[in-house]
Amino acid sequence: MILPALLLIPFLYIILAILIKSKKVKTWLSFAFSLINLGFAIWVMAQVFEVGMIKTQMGSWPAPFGITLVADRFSAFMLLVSALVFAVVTLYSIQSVDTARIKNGYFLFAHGILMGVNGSFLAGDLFNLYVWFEVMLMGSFILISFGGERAQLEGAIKYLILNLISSFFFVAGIGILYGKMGTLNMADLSQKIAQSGDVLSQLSPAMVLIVVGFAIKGALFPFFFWLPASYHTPPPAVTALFAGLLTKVGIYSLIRIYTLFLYHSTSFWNPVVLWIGILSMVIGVFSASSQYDFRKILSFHIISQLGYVVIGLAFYTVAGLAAAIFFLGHNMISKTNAFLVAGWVHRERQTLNLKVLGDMFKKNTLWGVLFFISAFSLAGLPPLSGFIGKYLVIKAGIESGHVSVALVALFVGFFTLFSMVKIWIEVFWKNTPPEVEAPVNTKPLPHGLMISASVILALAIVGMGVFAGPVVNYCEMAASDLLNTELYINFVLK
Amino acid sequence: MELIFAIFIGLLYACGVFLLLRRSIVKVILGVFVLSNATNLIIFLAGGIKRSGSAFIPEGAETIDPAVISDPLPQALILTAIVIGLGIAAYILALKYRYFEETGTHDLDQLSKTDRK
Amino acid sequence: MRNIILEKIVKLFLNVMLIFSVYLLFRGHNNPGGGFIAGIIAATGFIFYAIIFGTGSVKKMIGLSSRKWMGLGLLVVLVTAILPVFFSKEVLTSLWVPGDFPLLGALHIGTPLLFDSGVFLVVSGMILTIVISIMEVLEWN
Repeated sequence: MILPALLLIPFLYIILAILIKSKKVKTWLSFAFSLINLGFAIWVMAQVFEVGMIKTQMGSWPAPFGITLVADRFSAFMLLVSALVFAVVTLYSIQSVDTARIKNGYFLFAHGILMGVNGSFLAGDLFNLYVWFEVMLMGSFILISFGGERAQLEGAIKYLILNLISSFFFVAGIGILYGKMGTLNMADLSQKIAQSGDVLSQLSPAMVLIVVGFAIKGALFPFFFWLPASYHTPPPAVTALFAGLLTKVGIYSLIRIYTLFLYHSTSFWNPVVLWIGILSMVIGVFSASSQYDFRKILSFHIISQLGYVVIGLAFYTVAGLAAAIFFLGHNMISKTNAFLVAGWVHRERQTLNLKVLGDMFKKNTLWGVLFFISAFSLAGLPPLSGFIGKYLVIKAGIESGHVSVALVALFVGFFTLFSMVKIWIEVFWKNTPPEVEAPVNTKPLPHGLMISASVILALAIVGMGVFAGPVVNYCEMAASDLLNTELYINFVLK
Repeated sequence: MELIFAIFIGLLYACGVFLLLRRSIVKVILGVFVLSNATNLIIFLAGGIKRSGSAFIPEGAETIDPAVISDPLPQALILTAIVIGLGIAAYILALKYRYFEETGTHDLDQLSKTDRK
Repeated sequence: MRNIILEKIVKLFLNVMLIFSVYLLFRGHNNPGGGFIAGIIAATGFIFYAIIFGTGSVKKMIGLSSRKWMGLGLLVVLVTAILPVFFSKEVLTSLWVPGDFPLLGALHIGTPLLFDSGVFLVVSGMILTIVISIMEVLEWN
């Protein structure tokens, strides 16, 4: 019963937001619903922590025929982190997003995204996963073009067309897979693939289509161009939400199908995915260091950081997968927080061009500290969560014999640090260039809710770093569950 | 029949990709629609093409011979995909209209501003 | 210019479409039909009406705004989804009302019909919203 609740809570908010007129009621209801969603995510986590997996058969139809919702340790972790990120971004949006957008249903579409994300984490069959992807994408299409500024429309067209193409790849893969195997339930598929023998030649076309679909959604190396072209155009709160949730769903799905279908032909897939990860890391970080826009640098770093997750997956050991899961959680929180700080800078100065910014540390020390925490967590300094994440990935790499990959990961870490220091110096430390007219702010804009939202995430970053032990243990349990495919199959089908 | 169908889908994909590579945004959008329909047809083809009855179990009977009914699942999947496609079509046309209103151009070459530094 | 024959035909057509859509809605569970198709057919009737008489007249006829109509449909769907929970069944399980009714005889009524009615409202509301918005932007009449 609690799994459908994660879908029905955002759904109920959407209905209420259509029927209710008052802007104030809609706004605070949105925050209340995001907190209820967080509560349910914690509840799912508590249950999964005890029993390992829970499932619901929608409409009481039994497993390979009906729609299954499954939560194992991995999806419970993702649900919890995304619910936290969503609640925080909602709190931030109340103050940060302009009145016109809120009036026209900003929170309605944000809850649409939440519903899609929750559904993708819970989906037990491939077509359902596609449908939740589309729910999520529809919400994000609208939010990215919401307001209709020129740059936004341009970014939206690129975002829209490339994401639609990725959906077509995914659906075509599903169609071919269904024609071959006659089922779409992921557990049933996994079992049938294991029995069918010659997997590589039989299923490669379908699998390649599906993996390419996920790689476009997850903005991995050859397919990432839509992300830096569009993420810096909408209001900062929207970018923070996207950075926290959207690409991660693609990576989540990649890990899910990797551990269920692709593990039979690891000799083919491991090197492919490893190279995708390495190139994403390196190219993302190099592209970032040449940029001079706050949000664009962070956008390119999304690509580079997802590379770490993917190489963790490509090692295909318990340690590697645990590192990937931990890194995914860390990245959702740190990246969102970095974008939240960017949102404050944008609100104060109306621009995010590094060349004309400056003096922000003098303006508000607390925001400076918050940026420091999230940026240096992304760069991987102890004792923040990023350090633990990178340490785990590199350790797993060395243990599984990929020493050169581990070295590349370290090397990329230095460049991440370079970009973060660049933002720190240009935005917070240096004086505003004298030729730039500093905006005269007679009255400081209110930012109480914004700063408390950011503080919550910063505390989560420090907490994940300092009390890393239990989290890492949990991630290791989740990873060994993922590698034990039989466990998932037996649980869903019986 | 399956072969003809497969060739037809291939043609549709070729048209879609050709349209996607044009410079006009309208043609790109039309390309997206063509690709979406081609993908729906793939699912239809995957279910197998044969003439047979609808997938209802007759009154009184407990089971039915799978040979006399056609697979209903691909049709359900296509219906879902079509509905999603309908929503996206409405949105994408509205987006195009708004973009044209804002800039007065159909040219994809004008769409390079967000990629510059 | 008013075209009286067209106006009469469209008025008649709207009624036919609405009755046909309700017929499709009710036969949906066991025969081809259902909420989605019924919703589209009903919306088509209204669209013809809007083409001849203008969007304002359709809005007046519906009463609620078509957006609210969609919200109402979603609400019906949500209620159908969580209704089985109160009978300690899984979400979305079909519930059936057993037995005979006076005057009507043996009927097979259950939550799928309610769900289909929700879909009917959502689909017709959505199509109307899309088409009316387009017509208003283009200043159709």
